[in-house]
Amino acid sequence: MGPSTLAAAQQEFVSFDGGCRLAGALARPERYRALTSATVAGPRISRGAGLSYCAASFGAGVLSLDHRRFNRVLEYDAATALVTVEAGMSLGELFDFLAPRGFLLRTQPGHPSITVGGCIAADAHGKNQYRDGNFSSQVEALTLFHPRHGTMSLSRTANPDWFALTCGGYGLTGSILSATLRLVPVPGHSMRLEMIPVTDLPGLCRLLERAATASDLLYSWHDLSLSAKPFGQGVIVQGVFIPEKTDVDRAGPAAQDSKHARLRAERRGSGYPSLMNAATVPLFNFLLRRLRYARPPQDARLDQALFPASGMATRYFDFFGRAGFHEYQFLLPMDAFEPFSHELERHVRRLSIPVCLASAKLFRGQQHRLRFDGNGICFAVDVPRTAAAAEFVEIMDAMVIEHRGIPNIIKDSRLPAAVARRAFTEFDRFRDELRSFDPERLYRSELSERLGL
Amino acid sequence: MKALVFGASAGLGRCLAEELARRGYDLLLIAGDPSDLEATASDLRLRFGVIARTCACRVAAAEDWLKIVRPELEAFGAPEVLMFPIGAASEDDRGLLDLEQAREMTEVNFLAVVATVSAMLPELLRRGTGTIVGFGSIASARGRSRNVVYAAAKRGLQSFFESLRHLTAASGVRTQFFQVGYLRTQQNLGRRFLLPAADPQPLARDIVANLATREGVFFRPRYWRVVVLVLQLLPWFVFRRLSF
Repeated sequence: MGPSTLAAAQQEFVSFDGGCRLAGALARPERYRALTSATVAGPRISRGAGLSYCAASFGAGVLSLDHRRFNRVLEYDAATALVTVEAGMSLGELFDFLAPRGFLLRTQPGHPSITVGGCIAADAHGKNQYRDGNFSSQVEALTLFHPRHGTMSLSRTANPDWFALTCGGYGLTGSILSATLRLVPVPGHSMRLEMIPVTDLPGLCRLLERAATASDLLYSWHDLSLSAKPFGQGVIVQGVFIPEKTDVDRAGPAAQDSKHARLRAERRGSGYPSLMNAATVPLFNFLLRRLRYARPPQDARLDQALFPASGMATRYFDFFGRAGFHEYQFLLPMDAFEPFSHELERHVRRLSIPVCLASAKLFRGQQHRLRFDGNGICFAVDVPRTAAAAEFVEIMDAMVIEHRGIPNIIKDSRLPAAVARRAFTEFDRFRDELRSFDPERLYRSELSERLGL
Repeated sequence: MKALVFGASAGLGRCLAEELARRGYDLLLIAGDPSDLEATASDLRLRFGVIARTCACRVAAAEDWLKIVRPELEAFGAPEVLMFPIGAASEDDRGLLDLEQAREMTEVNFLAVVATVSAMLPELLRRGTGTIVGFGSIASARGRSRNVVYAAAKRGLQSFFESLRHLTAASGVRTQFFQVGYLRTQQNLGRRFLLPAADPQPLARDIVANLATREGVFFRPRYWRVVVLVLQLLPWFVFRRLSF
């Protein structure tokens, strides 16, 4: 009943960091036959929440297929701790289903609107990658549609090569229809957050390593303002689930209807000039330290602990205005971090770069293809998008390569192909496997074209 | 409590099914595509713990779809709520549809509802309780050169619901008929409308929340009542010049 043709709207797409704006077509299928329809012609790419910092879900001349109406729970088995959901389900919706049943995903990024399919495509990481691994480590199986191959079941035993290519494949192998995810029992009703002072950047690795195995959440925050003395002072935020009930609620709904929860790349910062500059950033960092990080141990509700990038916190991204920001996230071998941090300080000072946010996490794993994974320390800096910042991130490209690191492709809308090729030792393998799977390259995005995939 | 929802796998129908499940209704979901239908039913069973049965059938003039639906209705038992958020329009519907196309259009937009209600009405009247919810379209406010058969079928449906209301007036059976404006659905994406399209989710929430309290004809969004009234009052010499 009703037509099966897929209507599309022309619109301007924007990467979440504001760095890439492109006109393209958007379709919002609600039925499987529309999503997998032969009437869709030409290049296409799946789209979840559209919150990637880079243009992973759109491209020039590409039809973006919005999956958000494919957000249903298909199977759930408490005995085996497995849930199968459609790929357009958001992490918040999944949390709202799982938490009352006593389960959680072990690994999930911090914003509730991000979809399961997006997390698989970017192989996102969570609160303690060192202990828990990346998102795909909890994916048991998935179904993938590609016009050339039809609907395929993928897992570590069924089509394992395509499974590996799809996890961290940036949506370029096809449309992920559903995923079976392994769950963990809810370890506590709330989370106790403690702040461990960090006096400078070089000493950070040692402190993170010491805290890693005993933490359910672990990241650091640093003040890289030029006025901060010493440069890079900050705190390690260590979170541990509390099994017994505390005076905070067990869990609130994470899917949230509030307008703050509905982050949209196209609306982020619209109508604002950038409020982040050399004059305001030191004040911003000072206030952040005093109000958020210089506090005694505190208990956070489960949803607040798992999704810190929600509610009013999302206003942070608006402060960058329409121009947006660069987030440069990279993974370095442990031994390279100290010399890297000295160079970082030198360049921040030389270019007078206002660093709004600097944060580190500990990583452990095997780096394959173009996944953001491996052993070392993951560090991220946010800077407002200015001419000086453009020079700064190019310097960062060179520094990361020189120190044997990798940049996070999904966090950077301008990352040049040459940098990705040099940083990722399996770059050619990924491209060759992709072309073997999809010789016509039906699934494309600005990201894939920019990187020459 | 039991409810039957036609067109339950997408758009307003899916939103209504979800709202009914949230309120604890066991459901019989009817739609054309079994994979969409089963996905929706699984989701509602797992999230809300309700019984959600499915019946995949394509409502078409050439197919004896009632033969498929009737045993499912019998197995499910008489529902307290019957919802018919179904319909199909066509860009070609400009007064030149052939008999087969016109029959198809009438079947989906009018006869499917008539046949299903007729099958269920004796039981509803016997019990003296239940709510039948139909969905019209603002396209039927006044006949024009587009949606010719569609508008006629929807106006026929409105008349059917008016009669139904009269027929059930002495019983506890309630009828509701919603004249719905543009909806933000897959089919309408990218189309330019004179007035903003409504989100089906809050609309479904409103309809289900007031199942027990309303009876009669309603416009959603509400401002369509005024728009429709103005359209109906426009003198012919003005209306004939309008193109929309």
